[in-house]
Amino acid sequence: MTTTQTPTTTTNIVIPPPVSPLRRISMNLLSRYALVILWIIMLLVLLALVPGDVSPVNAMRTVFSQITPVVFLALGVVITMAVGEFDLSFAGIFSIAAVAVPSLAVLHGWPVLLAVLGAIVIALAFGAINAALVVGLGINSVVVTLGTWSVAGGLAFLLSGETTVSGLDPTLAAISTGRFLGLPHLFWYGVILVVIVAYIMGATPIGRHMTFVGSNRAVASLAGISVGRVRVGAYLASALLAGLAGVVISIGNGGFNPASASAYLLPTFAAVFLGTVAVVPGRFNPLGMLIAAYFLITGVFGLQLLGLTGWVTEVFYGAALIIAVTVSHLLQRRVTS
Amino acid sequence: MTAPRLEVRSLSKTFAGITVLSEARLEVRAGEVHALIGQNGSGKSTLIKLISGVYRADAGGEVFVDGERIGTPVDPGRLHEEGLAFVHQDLGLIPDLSVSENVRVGRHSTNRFTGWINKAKDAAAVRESLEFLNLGHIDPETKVARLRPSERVGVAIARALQGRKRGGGVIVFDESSRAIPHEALDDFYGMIRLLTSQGTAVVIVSHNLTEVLQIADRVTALRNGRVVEMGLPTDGLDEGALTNLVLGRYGELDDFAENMPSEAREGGIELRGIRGGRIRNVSATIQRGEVVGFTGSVDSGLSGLGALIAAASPGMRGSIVVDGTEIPLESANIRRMLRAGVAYIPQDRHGEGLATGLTVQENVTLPHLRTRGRSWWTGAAWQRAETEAVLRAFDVTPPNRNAVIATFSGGNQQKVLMGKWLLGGPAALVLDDPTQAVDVGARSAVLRATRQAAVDGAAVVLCSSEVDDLAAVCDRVVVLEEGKVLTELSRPFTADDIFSAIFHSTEGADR
Repeated sequence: MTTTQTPTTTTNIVIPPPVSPLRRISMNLLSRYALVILWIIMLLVLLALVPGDVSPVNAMRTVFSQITPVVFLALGVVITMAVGEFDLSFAGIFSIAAVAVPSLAVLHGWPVLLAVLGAIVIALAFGAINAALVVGLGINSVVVTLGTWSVAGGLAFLLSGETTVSGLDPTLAAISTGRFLGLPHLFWYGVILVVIVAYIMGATPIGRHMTFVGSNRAVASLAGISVGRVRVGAYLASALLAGLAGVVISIGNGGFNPASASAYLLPTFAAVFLGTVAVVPGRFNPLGMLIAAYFLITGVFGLQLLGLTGWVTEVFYGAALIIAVTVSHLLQRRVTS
Repeated sequence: MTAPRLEVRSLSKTFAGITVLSEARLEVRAGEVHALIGQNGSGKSTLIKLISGVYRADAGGEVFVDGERIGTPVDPGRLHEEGLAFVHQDLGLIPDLSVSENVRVGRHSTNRFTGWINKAKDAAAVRESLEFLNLGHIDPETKVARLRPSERVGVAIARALQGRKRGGGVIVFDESSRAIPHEALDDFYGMIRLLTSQGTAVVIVSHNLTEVLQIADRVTALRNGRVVEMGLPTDGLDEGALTNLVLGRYGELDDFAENMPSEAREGGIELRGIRGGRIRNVSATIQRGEVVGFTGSVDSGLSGLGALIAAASPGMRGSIVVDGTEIPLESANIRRMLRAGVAYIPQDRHGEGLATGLTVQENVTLPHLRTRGRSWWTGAAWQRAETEAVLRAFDVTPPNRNAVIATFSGGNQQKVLMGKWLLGGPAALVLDDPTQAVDVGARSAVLRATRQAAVDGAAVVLCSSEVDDLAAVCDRVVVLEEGKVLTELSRPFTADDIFSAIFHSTEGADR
């Protein structure tokens, strides 16, 4: 029954003519880093269009200085997608963790460190619920995580009393917004986490096991990989990253408005899928995601410079998501046929 | 001279360069039972799928019904109007729906204005068909799940008869008798005779040669994608003649067991009363250096044996001794068996054997990542060396370790899959139908590798329904029936011996 479509056998294998090493390396680099080139082109075009005198260096600095949780959130999504799971709940978990820190610290008078721990514990609890329902009971992951997203996001409103909770000690904000080499700490945290996850996924047995669980669970299981543990781990890692994002954002801003959380859903998915066209083409990978995230932020920033705001952002992210998925699909087809 | 009811001329099918059916022809007359016989992979199911439009035939083939050209290409949506009906292996009934719904699916009578289903009209049509089949006692509103097996067969046939004039058309039964219990078979044959007595043509696809002799008027045999005999009357044929038709005399497989002698050594695996799935009780000892084949008919439970030995199926009982260490299956899991040295190569290459979207290197090295790599660094040199060794040893083309599995042919994929598991020097190698859907060259390579594994000291379990494979590489062959060991053959044996051991027994042994 399975042989009706996409017969995966080919007999007339064409051995490509030898290509000079230089050309091969450059082609390889081009296919992996085309997104970076596109990014630079986009930046230059935008700068040419923007009235006034904005230097490229300043523009880049502004892009990298955005206080945004997208890299953290997208890193969690990369992990869950890589093992073949689907996690929509990150926006809700992010929201409740971000609200928990100021609520516990300011409204309930907890020490900040304890409030941070509390936020992380809450995030992990939601991750555990996801894992138990999806991996343990085998319920559809889209449905479960859509539900936990809504529950966590709703509880965030309850915890905050339906308003913006603020009043965290402003000196703490330096943890996130303090600068190192001219860029905020938040940026560096994101880079460090991405590098760590990229190393785990690319160079350790655990990473390879994740790839196989995502690619074909039966194969993984017959090779002795505990598929369930890998999947549970992915949900917990995703929840932990969403929780961390909540913590650093609320500390950086001194508080958090839970209504703003769902705005991160689309940029996150767009970054994750656009990331599959870069660095390791055709696979969910953290470095590609990092490049894609800042590519998208640059795009929105440019649109803002041109005086376009509001609806344009959403259209931009939506279009980017669709284009990213389409290109990645075509890429995948080229790799496997 | 009237045109045949169903005629097929030079029908071919090529999947990505591999011809699985070449220039097939078939002529079915009105009022006859015509049997299609052939081994797995001989092309008979491909032929049926081409006629039913599931596959699109290569250019040039033609299909006629009553002299009228209906393809190629055949439009599956119009088959019923053309007079062709197909009853599939599992009868295609939905147990939770009523008889009437099952029979009328896709052809419900509807009210012209509201588009609602006209239940009364449906029920009348269903009752008429059932009465024709002498099944008038079945209430069209009964759920199919509550019917006896022979009645279910009637429901499936009634569906094929809908909107058909008496005595017209062709009904194709694709291995239908597999789904029918023994006690209902006579009723099934009775219904077939009733149909043909009215003039309807019946085509049966069957593995069961006794059944073919019992009810078919003529047979068409396929072998290696070609029709070797078309429309041979069954009068005067016996099972031996049919067996020859099905197996042919290819002699294209070397006798690997003869040419690659291997001595049984200490150790190996012992199956102690293992049970699980359709395996009800199997005990056997396979020493290191031996290739022992397991075979049996479709309902023998053979298909679940490999997974059971690998501890990869649920509800397992019994125990397996690997090199002297007893492992109770109740508490065993895949990892436990892997650590004990049991390598399992599943039958479903794409579903369970290889991750087709990943590269050769990633697939080959997967089982050894933990033992050869560090937990914080997989290592690169050993992966490269290991993969290159597999590509060389199995002569995989193209020898590119970073190529994605899906770009290789089926035979080369099978070579990669075997290499993946042979690398670790397993204590026992369990293969599940390894030559399924591979071409002749790769088949040879796979069988040679199977034998080589035994020469190198592994205990090899080969689960296969391909008797030629078994005859070529096995030292002993264990025949299963209904989940139990029926008999064991030792060398010397031929493919015919194995074939008779499997099939004569299932059909009540008239020899």
